[in-house]
Amino acid sequence: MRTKLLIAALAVAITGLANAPAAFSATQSVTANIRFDTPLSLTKTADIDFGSVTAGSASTYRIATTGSVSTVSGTGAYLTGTTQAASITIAGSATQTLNISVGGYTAQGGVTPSNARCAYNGGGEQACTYAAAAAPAAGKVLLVGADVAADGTQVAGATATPTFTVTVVYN
Amino acid sequence: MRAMSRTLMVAVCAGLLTMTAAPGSSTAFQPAVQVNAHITFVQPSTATKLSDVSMGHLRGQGYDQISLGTDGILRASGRAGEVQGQGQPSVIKISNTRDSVINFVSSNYRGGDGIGAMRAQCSLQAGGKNCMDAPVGGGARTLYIGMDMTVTDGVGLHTGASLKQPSFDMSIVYQ
Repeated sequence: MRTKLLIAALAVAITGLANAPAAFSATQSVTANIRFDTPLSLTKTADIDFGSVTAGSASTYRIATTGSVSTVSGTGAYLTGTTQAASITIAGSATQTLNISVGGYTAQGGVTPSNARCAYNGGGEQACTYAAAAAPAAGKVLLVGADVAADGTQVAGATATPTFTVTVVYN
Repeated sequence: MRAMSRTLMVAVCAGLLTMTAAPGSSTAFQPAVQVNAHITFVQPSTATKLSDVSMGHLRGQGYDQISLGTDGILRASGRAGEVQGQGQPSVIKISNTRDSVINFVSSNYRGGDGIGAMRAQCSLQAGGKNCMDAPVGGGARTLYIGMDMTVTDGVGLHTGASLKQPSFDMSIVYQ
């Protein structure tokens, strides 16, 4: 009996809605916004190479984004070999600016990296922290240098490969 | 009914916000690349000078050109005619060059006091082939250094007691 009453009440309600005058209807237009852009891509074309420096010397070396190596502290010196800064090609949006940062410094072989320096799109060298770097479009080059501190335990013939991470995101 | 419409509208707006926020989100997509910093350690080359160039005592009327070969033979020519004698080349011991190709480069000539137009010569054996600006293989080496120079009028070489000490730098450069 209760079920029948409920069905009857719903039927009345539906009938009432169907017979409602047009003046009581409300329509909302919904716009779905969506933008399409090119995903960011980072292509590393070169790692950093300090060449050969003095063995057994606790010294800190710096490689500029131009690839030149100098001694920051200590008695060690660059001695020989080809040197180069890292080079990363960034491609993506033609309109979205970039946030570039560096982190994850990881020592290896008694050599600790720090103080990465960058030069983006032909600009001057600066700390690798860009709040709004130019949109990369088809490709812009990020040159990366850094400091490395050797603890002096490295014997002649030793090599080390400390690392760090460059991260790029759209703003 | 009005409450239901309001609920629907809020739900649609929430969806709209979600859709517009996703593409610009800096955390949604964070490409990163690891940079490796390669560094090699070597023992620096050493150069130990065992002796300087010595031309001994020159006597005469004043020489226009004086040359000391890496074999120590001294040759002078000028208004007094040809003169030949014996001097001492500079001897330098080089070590720790490993397998590197090295160059010998002279620079920073300091003459004056009547001595000028100097030019160094070197060889890896006394009197051997001149090694200036010619790359050679690494390894322990003995370098013999001679020099050419010109002497102008009034330098006073003929006095015998006048000690002249022109100098220059000899660099060993890795390639």
